[in-house]
Amino acid sequence: MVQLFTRYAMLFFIILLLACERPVDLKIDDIPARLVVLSKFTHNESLRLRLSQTRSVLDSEEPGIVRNARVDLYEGEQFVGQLEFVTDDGNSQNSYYTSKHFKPKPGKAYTLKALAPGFAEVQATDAIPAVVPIRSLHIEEVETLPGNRPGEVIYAYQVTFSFVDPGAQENYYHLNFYQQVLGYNLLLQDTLITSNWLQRIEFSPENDNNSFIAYFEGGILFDDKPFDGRIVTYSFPLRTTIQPQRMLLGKMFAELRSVSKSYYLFSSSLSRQRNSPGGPLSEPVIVFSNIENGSGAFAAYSQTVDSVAVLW
Amino acid sequence: MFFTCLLLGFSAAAQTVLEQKVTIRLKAVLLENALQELATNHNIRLSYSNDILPPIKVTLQVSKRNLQEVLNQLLRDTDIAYQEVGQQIVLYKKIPPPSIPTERKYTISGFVEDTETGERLIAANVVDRISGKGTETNEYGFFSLTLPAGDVQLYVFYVGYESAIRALQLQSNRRLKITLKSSLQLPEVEVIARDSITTGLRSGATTDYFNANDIERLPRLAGEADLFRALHLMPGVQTGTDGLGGLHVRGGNPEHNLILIDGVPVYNATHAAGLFSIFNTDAIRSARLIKGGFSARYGGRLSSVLDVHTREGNLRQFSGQAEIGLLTARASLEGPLVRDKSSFFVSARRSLMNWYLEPLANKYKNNKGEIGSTSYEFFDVNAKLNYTFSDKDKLYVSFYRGGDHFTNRGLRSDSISFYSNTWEDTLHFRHDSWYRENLDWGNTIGAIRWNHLFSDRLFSNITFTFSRFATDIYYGSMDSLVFTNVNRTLYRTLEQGRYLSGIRDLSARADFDWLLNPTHTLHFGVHATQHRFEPGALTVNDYTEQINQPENLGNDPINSFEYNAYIEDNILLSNQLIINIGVHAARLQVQKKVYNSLQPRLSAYWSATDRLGFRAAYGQMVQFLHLLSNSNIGLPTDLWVPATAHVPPQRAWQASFGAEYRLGWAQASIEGYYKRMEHLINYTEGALFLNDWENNVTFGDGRAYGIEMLLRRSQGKATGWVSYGLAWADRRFELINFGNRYPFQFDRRHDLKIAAQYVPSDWLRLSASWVISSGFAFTLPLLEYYYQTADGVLVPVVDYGSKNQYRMPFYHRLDVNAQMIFRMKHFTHSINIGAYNIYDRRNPLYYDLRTRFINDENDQLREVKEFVQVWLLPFLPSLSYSIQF
Repeated sequence: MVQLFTRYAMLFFIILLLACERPVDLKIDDIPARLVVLSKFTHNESLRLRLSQTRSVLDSEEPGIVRNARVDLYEGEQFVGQLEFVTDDGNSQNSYYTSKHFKPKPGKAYTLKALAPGFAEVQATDAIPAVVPIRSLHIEEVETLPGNRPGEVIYAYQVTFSFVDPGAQENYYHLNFYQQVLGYNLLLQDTLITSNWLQRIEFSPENDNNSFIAYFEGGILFDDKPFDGRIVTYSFPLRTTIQPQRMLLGKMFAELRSVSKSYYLFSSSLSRQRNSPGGPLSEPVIVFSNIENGSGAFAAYSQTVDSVAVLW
Repeated sequence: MFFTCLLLGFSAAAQTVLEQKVTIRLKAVLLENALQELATNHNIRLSYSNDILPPIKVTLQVSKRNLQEVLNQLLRDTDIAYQEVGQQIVLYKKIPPPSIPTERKYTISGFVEDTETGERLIAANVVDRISGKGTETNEYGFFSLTLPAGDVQLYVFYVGYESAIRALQLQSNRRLKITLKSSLQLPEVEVIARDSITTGLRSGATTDYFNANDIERLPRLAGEADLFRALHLMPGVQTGTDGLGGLHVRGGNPEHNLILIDGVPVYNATHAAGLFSIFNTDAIRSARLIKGGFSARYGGRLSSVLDVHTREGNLRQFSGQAEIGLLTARASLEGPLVRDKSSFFVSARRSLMNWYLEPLANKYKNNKGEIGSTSYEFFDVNAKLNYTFSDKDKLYVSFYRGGDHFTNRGLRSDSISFYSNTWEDTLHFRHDSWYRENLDWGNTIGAIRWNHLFSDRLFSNITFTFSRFATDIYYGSMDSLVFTNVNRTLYRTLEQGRYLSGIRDLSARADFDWLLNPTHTLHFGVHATQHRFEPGALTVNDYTEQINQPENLGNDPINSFEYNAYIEDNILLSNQLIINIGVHAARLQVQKKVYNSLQPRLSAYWSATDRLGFRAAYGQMVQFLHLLSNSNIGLPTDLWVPATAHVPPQRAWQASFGAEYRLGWAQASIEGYYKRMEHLINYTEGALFLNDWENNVTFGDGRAYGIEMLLRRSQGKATGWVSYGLAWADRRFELINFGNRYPFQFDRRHDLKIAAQYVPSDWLRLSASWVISSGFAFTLPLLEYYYQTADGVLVPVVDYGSKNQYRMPFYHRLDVNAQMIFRMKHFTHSINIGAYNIYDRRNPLYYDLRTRFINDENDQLREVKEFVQVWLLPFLPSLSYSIQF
């Protein structure tokens, strides 16, 4: 709604001014393509990295995955190994480089160097922050509301969780909530669970501010400036819509990611760019990159997960 | 051609008037006629009163001799003396030796007025030629000068007026009313007597002066003379393409300019996003732009003061003026209510854009199958009333109302019919949609002012003011599908919203000018203002089949109280050195938080020689207001917000140093400055502007520094100026560009402006202006890549690089104007013919990335992306006609 309104305001001036226009060549084709590194890695999991390339905004071709790169990983100053390329023949866009057996550790800095023919060498460093445990998680004020479509029910509840922010340092977080949903069939008198999935809970960007930014894939991003070193308790109203004749409500999972500054800046700026109304008269949103000579993010996080049953 | 004339004029002006070579042959000619011939043949301005010339005849034959020698010979047997003042020679009667002891001092005070209209003149110079002491009139035409007892010869001069000399014996305090004749109203006198744009005359402040005639003579946009367009031609003043984007003085933001109409701050100073200012030229008496070295009386803004005074109204006779151009029409009327005691002035202006916009828009909509309309208009009304109760008391009431109104609406109805086998009938559907957008915004200001003279040395001004800027935006749209066979609505959606925002000030202030002694003039005062901010509220009503819920987004109103006090002392340390020292104290109470500030101000002017002067200034400024802009051109949706408990006031300091040199009929100046701004706020990058603003802004600082040069010629048939600015300006915000410093949008490195006027005869005035500036800084999308979500979806990411790292091409434009004046018995007709952007330079407003689809050689639909340059004003001829009576 807000974006719609912004467009109206912009439109007014474009109409009003009866501006003239003509295509121009801004000579931006000369800008060489750069490697794009996209990786969010955590402890106890193999590092996965998507390596692609930029294209000119004037190009229409989909830029492919860069397959023939040499990608080296360092732990501190020490060479860990060369990442292996894993191809997905069904969809080449799903191909990636991986450290396979090597799993990064919290507190260590990792440096990635990638070199591919025709591109400048890129390099990035990031470290996995220490794990920040969830101190408590509970749900209250559960109520059911009629859904927007026939047969749908909305479960609305207030979730409260807390954690202790490590003091005297900058900390950044990505908090995700997932609602477990169980698909079932009634077999005679028995309930047969046929499927089980997690429904990611999304937050509206219209409530964004400097402290909280809705991540476009779900969850919220925040930093510890307002509460550095203190016990933090947050309460959120959440909603999940299911069809009770086919689904059951399972547990609610909370994932607290303690993320690096690069992770936070990349994810928050990417979300803001996606939510930006756009248009030539609005200020553009610049997406963060910590890739030297390239684009994208090599970003680390640690995570803790807790769950609670939704009872009503 | 104009520039050649101007430059020739400049080179010719490198000598003084008295050094000018003259050739003359006189044989038994009356002295008066001899002087007239001398003035006419050699383009010399001689100022004298006829009654001082004796009826003697003179004979003289000289060839290529200095004017000084010629005058010495012509006047040798008389008691007439002369002196070069400014660019003219003033003749006066020699004063006999003083007959009264001069230990005692008395004060001469009074007002300087226009002879014809009775209007008081601002910043007129009053100088005693004997003692060399002088002063200038204040905003209400008042002056006060303490001089030794004895003979006094007051020389009074003012830009655009004939000078006057009053000789008197000072034996007690005296109050005078001095009247000056406008040189423009005396066609028999050559119209060259205008030092029309005077920059910082013997003051540490950097000031540009304008009056209505200066603005009228410059080239116009579509026939509309405009104060802001005149300001854009001065060094250190920047704006966006064709005026969009506001006024940026020395690297400051638009909200850093204190814009005053008769002392009342106005918050939105432009119409049509900056194409026109709100100032109706008919209503302007004087305007001055102070770019640096603000005296302590001004407070509340960081970068500049634009102090506009409107006409008071003719005290002697009724007069009026009307003008119609291609885009606007305006009219004004003034006259006495009680002759010599009370007068009124009223003027109005209205845009005529709808003459063009409405038919074009209707045709466009009809082609799209819509019924609808688009209209845009703006208007201004100025009114002023004054009443003189006595020599000591005068009351003014002034009012301004201006606004913009935009409407865009459309209605479309489509029918769909098809045969249904199920129904075994033809089914008919009707799809209706309509939309409507209304945008209204404008200022209302009012003031009641009482001037009172407590004594010959103490002048007071008590003022009560009201100022409001409000924006009201409505939008709505509806879609519906009706199954007309059974007249049933299958679905209907309705969206509508309203955005209201505003700022309202109520203020009371008292200002005093106190002539303490001949070397000290104190200015002091207090004022209190209650601000009420309504920083944007959107009420949204959505109606669909399922949802019916009103939303209220936006912000709560904020009240704040601002108190100011100031004192400044204008110290005449010697005839060569003037210092202005002062302090401005300010206090803001908002949300139980108090901000106090003490802002020292210091400026000095040193006349090293008769021709060479130096100025220096330092000042600190604090601003309790912020302007949040959600675009890069300045829209009515921009929010004025106050400093709050969480948002501190903006601060700045500026230091400047300059020199000026008088080259006879021209003046050259150079000035360097450095300005530092802190606690600036801006929307956090990517913030949605209707959200809670306090939690969506980021804090930062800015720097601006540079050198400005000005070469100006004010006398002669060819006048004008050349200015050059070399400047740097940048910004750094915590949550913009990831905290890295970046170039300010209006960081124009080079800026050359030329304005020239040529008056070949008394009925024709030609003018031209040419500007060329470095392109402004902007951010361009260059590269793109894809981010893969956890679900495997590829989403595009635009890589802009760093903020504002690209530059638009050089901006340049040439405008010309010819003004033809036809004076009849009772009326004066004037026709302006001109052209804006005469060589049709396409200065880009922005670049837009567009996508279109074409059929390629294989007959496949192919996507083509390209940048489109959007520019605003092409070559625009202009024509306007005015009539004056």
